[in-house]
Amino acid sequence: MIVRRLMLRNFRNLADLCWSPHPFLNILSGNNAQGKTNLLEAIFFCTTGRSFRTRRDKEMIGWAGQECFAGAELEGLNSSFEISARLNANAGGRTTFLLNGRRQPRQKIFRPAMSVSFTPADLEMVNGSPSERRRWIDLDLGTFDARYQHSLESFERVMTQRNNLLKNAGRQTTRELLEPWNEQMFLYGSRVIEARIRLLKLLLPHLRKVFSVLTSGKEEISLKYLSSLPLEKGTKPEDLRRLYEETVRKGFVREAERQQTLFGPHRDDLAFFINGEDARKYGSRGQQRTLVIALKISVVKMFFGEYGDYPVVLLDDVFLELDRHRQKGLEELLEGEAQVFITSNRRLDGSFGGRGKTYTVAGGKVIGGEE
Amino acid sequence: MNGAGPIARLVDQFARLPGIGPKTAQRLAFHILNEPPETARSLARALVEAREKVRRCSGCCDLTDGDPCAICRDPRRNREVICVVEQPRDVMAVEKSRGFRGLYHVLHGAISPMSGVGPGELTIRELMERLAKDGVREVILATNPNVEGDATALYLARLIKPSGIRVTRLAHGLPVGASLEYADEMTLSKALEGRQDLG
Repeated sequence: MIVRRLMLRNFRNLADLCWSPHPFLNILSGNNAQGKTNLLEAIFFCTTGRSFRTRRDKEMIGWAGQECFAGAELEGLNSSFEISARLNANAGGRTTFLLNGRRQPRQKIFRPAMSVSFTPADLEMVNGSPSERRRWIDLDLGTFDARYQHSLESFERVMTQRNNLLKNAGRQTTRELLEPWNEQMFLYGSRVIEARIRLLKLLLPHLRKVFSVLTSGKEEISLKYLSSLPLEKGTKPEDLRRLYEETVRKGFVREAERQQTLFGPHRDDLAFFINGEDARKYGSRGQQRTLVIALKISVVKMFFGEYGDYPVVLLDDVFLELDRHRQKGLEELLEGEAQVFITSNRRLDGSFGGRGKTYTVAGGKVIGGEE
Repeated sequence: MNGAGPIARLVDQFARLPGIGPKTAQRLAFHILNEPPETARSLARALVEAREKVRRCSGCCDLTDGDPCAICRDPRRNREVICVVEQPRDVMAVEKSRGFRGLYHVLHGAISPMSGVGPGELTIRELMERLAKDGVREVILATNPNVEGDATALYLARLIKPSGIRVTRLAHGLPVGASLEYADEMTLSKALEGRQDLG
């Protein structure tokens, strides 16, 4: 996927912009608060239908008016198309999306992994709460399984209903009433867990390779899926559902007491190990950052392996806290494959194979374009 | 619209209807006021008449103006098969298919603890009474293919199974006449699960 042209009006501080980026590397330099990250956000928005910063679309509308427009001309493997969005700040105003100028619902327009982003907030994936890691799996890896979103949404809906039942009836909750919800919880919950483990297994070889390049072969990465179900090494996918049933049967008294669902994919977590040490507890900031970048880039590589096309890669302030060797490793990984956008408030002296341009972002405008 | 005059009251009444916002309510109200008085009178008559004459059928619980309803009365219907649906509009949908000649049972909803709907709020007791006496051989569960519809179907299946009556669920699958490339992934994978042998 390549962004051929980006058109913005009143998108945060980007008042009026029409920009044709380089097909490979785009370095966006400039001082703080000039619009570098806003530019990445706009590209992310035009390729996913959401922001990596906020859940409220209206926050992306600039001060200059009640409306905002963001559009991108995109080129995929063998198709070109234009996605645009109109945001409206008025009460009850909604965001509308257009594909080639025709209005379409969000989920019809955006295909999985048209772009992958790294922002400093993603560090939470390693040192934040388990929900951050689940969110990463659901958003970044979930796109590799057509059923994943449906299983996850159904599971969450079932769990809300089940929690309501537990809360209202408390200890009196009868088996008879719970049974229809349990049955669906086992079905969708075990599908989600099974998919997560399968996708993580697919990702692991990519992650190992990428992490090794970033660290010049000095560090080794491994990961473990931590489940609220007593999974063992040999647990087969077809046994998951039975295991889930058994766990809930044994733990039901506790669930009734706490009045909530205690077992399932919504309680699971992921642990990363660098040279055998838990990265969350013992990793340095630089190592944690390297790990998050490695996770993002291995998703990019995995996507290429599956679909034969690269997502657009958006890296916000990625070089911060990385030493020279790791910077070089990152350049090596990105060179001449995907279209990459990198922001930085320092001038980058890396070579990046010479295939790209450096732009300056100042006062909401993109200036220059040096080879 | 503020105030308590007759116009405001009319707008307010329209705005309470599902799917009607304040703007549409206003448009409807002014439309009625611009038409000759007879339009308003016949609308009012139709509303009151429908509300007073339509009740739940003592058999299938569908809405009807005569009890039992036309379908339950029809001697050509197969009384051994009951199709269970959530809403009266679902009866109309299945009827339009003309592929079903049995009787119906309308639940008037689906089990949903978060909306305070349990089995007691649905017409499940009425259904069980029918099954106990009517010589029914098959119950088709045609609740909606979502989490609540599935929960309702599972609940009913458990309740009915011990009586030895055959319980079936509508298949999920591809829309007829559509091409594969336009089917969403979920429908396709459901259709794959429910595939059938040919020949």
